[in-house]
Amino acid sequence: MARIPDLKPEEMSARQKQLAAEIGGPRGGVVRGPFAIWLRNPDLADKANQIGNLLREGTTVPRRLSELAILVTARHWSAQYEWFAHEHQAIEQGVSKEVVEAIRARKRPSFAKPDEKAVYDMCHELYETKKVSDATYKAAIETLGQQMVIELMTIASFYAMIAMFLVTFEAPVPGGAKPLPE
Amino acid sequence: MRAMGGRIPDLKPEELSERQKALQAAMAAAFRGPVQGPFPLWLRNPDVGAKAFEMVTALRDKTKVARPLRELAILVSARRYRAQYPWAIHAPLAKSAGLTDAVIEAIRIRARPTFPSRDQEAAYAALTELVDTGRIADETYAAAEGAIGLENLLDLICVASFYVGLALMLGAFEVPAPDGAQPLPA
Repeated sequence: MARIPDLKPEEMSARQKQLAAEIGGPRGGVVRGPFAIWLRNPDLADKANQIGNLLREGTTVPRRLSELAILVTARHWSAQYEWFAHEHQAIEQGVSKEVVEAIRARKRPSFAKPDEKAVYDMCHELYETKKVSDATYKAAIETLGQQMVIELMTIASFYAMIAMFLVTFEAPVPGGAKPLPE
Repeated sequence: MRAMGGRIPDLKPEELSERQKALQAAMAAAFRGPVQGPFPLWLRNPDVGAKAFEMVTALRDKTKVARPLRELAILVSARRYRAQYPWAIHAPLAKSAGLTDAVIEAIRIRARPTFPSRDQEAAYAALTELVDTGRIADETYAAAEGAIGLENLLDLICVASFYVGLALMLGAFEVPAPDGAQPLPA
């Protein structure tokens, strides 16, 4: 059960309705997950939505790598909704099913692609130890380049924020599924 | 000399695009001082950086949660991730917002603070559970919601989780506090 009930249309202000339409538009008309909760503070929902859109379309990080980083993030916090929303996108963008399954099972994936390995190592180490060793950092810079590493960390930090938000309010996955084992 | 951006070298004025210059000027004006901490990193993609900067100001200006609680959320997040920069900036702000010296010092040295009010106590319990365990137990959640209300709790968690994200970014790039200060012990 979600800890915060979704706002009903009749409970929404004009601003909230407009934002719900804007956010739900590209998502099949439905506002779920973090945004269903965030709508209660429309100023923050609006900013978060704008950041999310830019991180998807407006960085040098290929979607295959950003979706991978998002899965590592969702797994770290066991953010069920975040995993649910991004698992299919990751696979669509070319992350292999083996890699996805390994992350789900909290195992270290074996990577065929060096850029995926660099992304995984940097994000995983950061979440586990709250820092990144010189060796891992150097490998990421050499593989991805400085600009992409900065943007990758911006993506990781944004989705970490969303993950914590989701677990706090126990945002449900449609159908009550729990794609991530504890 | 260590770059203000830690592992990322500072951009020289002649390397900045017009867009980056304008964003840097807006940041400097907002904080009435040098552009440090996460802000030099955010200049690197000025579209995203401008929005992240707007998020920081929205968390300050567009949340209803009381200032002492907001600062408490920032300090708890910064302490857990040992993020020296936000601690250095926000410890004085927390004091001016009304958190006691004893509370701030207890958080700094990882001791259990004694709070002067029920709302601070309940917010702290929820925040520390979230950053320490990645969950908030039903009882703790209900106590926090009962003490400060749903809308304020939502704002509080937004602040805390944004600053955890920020602390991660600062940790990844080893971004220092101003003047290399290390207010947080290991």
